[in-house]
Amino acid sequence: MENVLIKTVDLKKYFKTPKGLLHAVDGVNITVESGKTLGVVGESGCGKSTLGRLVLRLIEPTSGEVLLKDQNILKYNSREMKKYRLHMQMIFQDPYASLNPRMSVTDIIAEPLIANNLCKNQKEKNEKVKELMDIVGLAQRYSNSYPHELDGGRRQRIGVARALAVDPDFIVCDEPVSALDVSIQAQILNLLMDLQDQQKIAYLFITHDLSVVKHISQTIVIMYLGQCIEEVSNKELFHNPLHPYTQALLSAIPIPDLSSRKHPRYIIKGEVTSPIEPEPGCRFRTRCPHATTSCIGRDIPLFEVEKNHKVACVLFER
Amino acid sequence: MSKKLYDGLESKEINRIKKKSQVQFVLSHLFKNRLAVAGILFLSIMIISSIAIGFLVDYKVIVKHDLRNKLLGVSARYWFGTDGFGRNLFYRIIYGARISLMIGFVSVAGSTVLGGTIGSIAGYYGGKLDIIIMRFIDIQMAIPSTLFAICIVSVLGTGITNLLLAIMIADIPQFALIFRSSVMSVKNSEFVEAARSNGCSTYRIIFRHILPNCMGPIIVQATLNLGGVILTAASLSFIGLGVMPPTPEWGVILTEGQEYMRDFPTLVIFPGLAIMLTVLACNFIGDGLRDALDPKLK
Amino acid sequence: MNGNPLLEIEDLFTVYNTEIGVVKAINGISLQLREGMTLGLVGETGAGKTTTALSIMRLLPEKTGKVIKGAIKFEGKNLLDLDEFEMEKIRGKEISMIFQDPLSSLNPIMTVADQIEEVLMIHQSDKKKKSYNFLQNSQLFLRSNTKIERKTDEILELVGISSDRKREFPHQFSGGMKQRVSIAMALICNPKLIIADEPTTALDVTIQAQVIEIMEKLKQQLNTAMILITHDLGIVASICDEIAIMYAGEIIEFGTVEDIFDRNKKHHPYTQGLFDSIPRLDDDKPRLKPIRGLMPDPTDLPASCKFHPRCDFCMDICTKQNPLPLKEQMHMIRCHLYSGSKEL
Repeated sequence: MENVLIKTVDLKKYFKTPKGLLHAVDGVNITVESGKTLGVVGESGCGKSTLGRLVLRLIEPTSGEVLLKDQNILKYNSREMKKYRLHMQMIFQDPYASLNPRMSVTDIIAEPLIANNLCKNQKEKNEKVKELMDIVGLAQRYSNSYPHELDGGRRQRIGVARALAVDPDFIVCDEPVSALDVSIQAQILNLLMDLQDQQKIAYLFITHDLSVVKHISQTIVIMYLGQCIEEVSNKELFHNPLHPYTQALLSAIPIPDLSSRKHPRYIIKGEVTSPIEPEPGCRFRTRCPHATTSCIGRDIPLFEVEKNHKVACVLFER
Repeated sequence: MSKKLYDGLESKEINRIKKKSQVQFVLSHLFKNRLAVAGILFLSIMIISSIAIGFLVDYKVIVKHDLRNKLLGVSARYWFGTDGFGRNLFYRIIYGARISLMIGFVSVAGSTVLGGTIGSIAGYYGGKLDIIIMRFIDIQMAIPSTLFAICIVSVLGTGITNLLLAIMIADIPQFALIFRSSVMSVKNSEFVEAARSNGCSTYRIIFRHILPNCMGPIIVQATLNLGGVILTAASLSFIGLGVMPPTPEWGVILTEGQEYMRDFPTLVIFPGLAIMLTVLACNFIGDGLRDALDPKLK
Repeated sequence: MNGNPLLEIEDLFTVYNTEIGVVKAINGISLQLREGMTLGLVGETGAGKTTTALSIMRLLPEKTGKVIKGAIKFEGKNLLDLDEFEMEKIRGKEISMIFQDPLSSLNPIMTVADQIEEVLMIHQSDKKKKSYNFLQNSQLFLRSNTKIERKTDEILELVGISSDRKREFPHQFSGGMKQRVSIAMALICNPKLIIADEPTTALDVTIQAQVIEIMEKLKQQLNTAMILITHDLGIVASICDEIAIMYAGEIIEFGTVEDIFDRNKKHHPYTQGLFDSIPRLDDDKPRLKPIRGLMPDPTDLPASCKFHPRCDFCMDICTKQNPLPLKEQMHMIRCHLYSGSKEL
C-alpha cells in the first residue's frame, strides 16, 4: 500500500454529555489510497459522520492521529491548516442546508477560490466557475440563480463543484445521495465516479446504504457504535461477510427482486445500544446471535482473516 | 458518458425558472399586506415632508415667538392652528418628525450595531465568554428600559445627543439577544461547516455566511423598535429629560400644549396623533415584515 | 384473484392552488384494491403518491388542496360525497394511516397507551353512546376500563412491544419502537384498509427489516388491505401483491409483483429506468444507467405523455398524444411504444 493518502491512527472522539462521555468514534484506523474510494457504512449514531469531520479536522479529536501523506495534520496551527485544507474537501448530505441561501450559484462555487486567494481577478474567477459548472454538468444560465430555485440534484452538483474548486486530492462525501430520488442519485453517483476516473480523486464515502457503497467503493469499512468492525474489499463483502452484524445488514436490505421472497431473512433483534460510556467488550453482543462470555470484558481488535479482509469478532480470533 | 446528458431537460425549462432574489420575494409579500403598505406610505410621507420643510421654511420661523397670533384655530394659513407662543403648529409637527425620526433611526442603528457585535460574539464563540456577556445582558434586562434611559440622561444631562445615547444603550440587550440566538442557530448549519472546510477565515464566515442569514428577525425587531424608540424619546422630552424647548420635538410640543389642553385640545391632539400614527406605522411595517420573512410561507 | 373490490378510485384529479400556480398533483388515476391485498404505490418525489393517500383520507390541506374530478369508492360509498362528520367515523376505524415520521406523528405529551386508547374510545363511543363525552377521554376513566386496556395490551404485544412499557411517553422509545406504536394505533380498530406512507424511510436498515417483518406478519394474521407508499423497489418486492408505478400524477404501469419484477416482460421506459438507476448488491455494474433529466414542473405538465422529455424511446406521437392504458390481464402500461398492438 504505497499510495496511502490519508491514514488515521487510533482516532478517538468523545463528546461530553450530561450522562457521561459519548464514544462517537472509538479507536478507528482507516486508510484511504489515492485515487481510490473507501466506503464507510453504518446505521445512524455509529459515528460515521463524526469520523468524516475528524479526518478533515473540522472537529478536534480527543486523541489519535490523522496522517495526510505521512504528515500528522493535527499538529498544524490554523494558518498551516488552511494550506492543507486545499487538499481535502467535503460534500455534504443535505443539498438544501449545505448551500448558503443568500449566495448565488457563482458565489457559492467561487467561495473557496476567494477564501484561499486562488484567483487574481474577477475574470479569472468567472472563467474558473464556468469551467467547474461544465465539469459537474450545470448549465451556465444557472450561474445567477439562488439555491432555493433549484432542485436537489442540481444543488448537489453545486456542492460537488464547490468541493472541486480547489483541486483537492481527497473528498469526504457525507451521505451525498441519500436525500435524492433514485434516478437523480444515479446521476450524482455516476458524476462522482467519472470525476474519480478523470482527476484521480480519493473519496471517503460515508453512507448508510450498503448497495450504494458497494457500487462506488473499492474497500468498505463497517462501523458499529464508534468502532470499525469489519474492513473488506468490495467483492468479498457480498460473497463472504464475516461479522454477524455485517451479515445482518446485508440480509436486511430488501432486494428489488422476487427471489428475495423465497429466502428467509436473517433479522437481528433489538436496537443499537447507548454509545455513552460503553463497557469494554464487543458492542454488538447484546444483539448478536453468537454472543458468548468471551465477547465481554475486553475490546476485540480487528484481525486480518484473509488478505484485505479484517474483522473484529471472537468467532474469527486465532 | 457525455456531460450534456445530465442536463438534458434544461433547454425546455429555461422559461419556467422565475428569477427572483430573496429580497424581491420578501418585498412582493410585504406589498400584499395592506396595513404594511399603509405604514410604509405614512412613514415615507413623514420622511419626505420633514426633509422638505427644512428647505421651504426657515428654522427661525418655527421657533420665533409671535404672541399676537397665539392660540389661533385651524385655518388655511395655520393648518393645525398656532400654539401658546403663536408658532405654526403644523410646521412644528412636521419639523418635529425630523427630530423624532432622526432619533429613532440613529439610535436603532446604533443599538443594532452595538448589540449585534456583542450578541454575535457571544453566539459565535459560546462557552465562558457567552456566559459572562449574557449575565451582563441579564442584569441590564432586569431594569426597565425607559427607567434606564432616564437614569442615563439624569447622569449625562439633557440634550439630543445624550437622549440618543441613553435610548441606544437601553436597547442594546434586546438586539444582543436576538443576534445571539440567530447566530447560534445559523452557526451549526451545514453551509457554515462547508465554508470552514473551504478554508474561510472566521471573519469571513461571520460576515459573509452567518450574518446575512440572520437578517430576517433583526430587520423585524429593528422596525418594531423604531416605534418604541420614538415613543421613549417623546416621553423623555415630555417629562423634561430629553430635547429642550424651543426645539420642536413631539414630546416638547405636547408639554407646551399641556397648559392649554382644556381650552385648545388641538394643541395636544395633533402632536399626539403624529406620535401615535408614526409608532403605528412602524408596528404595521414590522408585523408585515415578520409575515413576509416567515420561512413557512416559502 | 379472490376478494371483492374494497377501494375503487375512478379517474381522480387532485390539484393544489399555490402561489406559483395550479399544481396538478394527480392527473386521472384509476385503481382497484381488493380485500386483503397489498398495493404498492411506487414513485419519486412529486409523483403524487402522498396526495393520493391524502385524497383517499380526505386530509388534503384545506385551503390549497382540492379534488376536482373523480370518485373514491370505499365499499361502494363515494368518500368524496361524505360530510366531515361521516368521514371522521371512517378515518381510523375503517381506513387508517401510518405516517413516515414516527417522531412527529405521535403526540409527545400523551403516553403511548393513552394515544392508542384514544383512537379506540372515539370510535367505540360512536356505537355505544350518541355523543362523545369529554370525560371518557380522561385517563382515570380509561384506566378503569379494563376491556379497552386489554385490547391495547394485545395490540402492543402484536407489534412486539411489551405491555409494561405502555405508560411511557413517545420520547422514551426509539425510532423503530415509535413506528411500531404508530402501526399499533393504525390497527387498533381493525380497519379494513391501512395506508402506510413511507413507513420505514426514516428508519435504519436493520430496524426497517424488523418493521417490515411485523407488517408482513400482521397482513397475514389480520387480512387487512394495505396501500404501501414507497420509493424503494426492494420493500415493494418483499411485501406487495400489486404494484402501481406513478409518474407526474399518473399511473404509468400497474401489475402484480410478478408482472413488474419479471425483467423479461414489457415495461414502461420509466419503470425500466428506475430499475437501472438503483445500485444492487448482487451484481457488478461498473456504472449505473440513470434516467436523464428531472421530474417535470407540476404546474406546467405536458399534455401528451408526461415522461417523453426524459424518455430514450421518445417518438413523434409521444409529444402529441397522451397514451391510453394497454392491458393484459392485470398488467397495464401507458406508453405509445406498445400501442401498435391492442394488447401487451
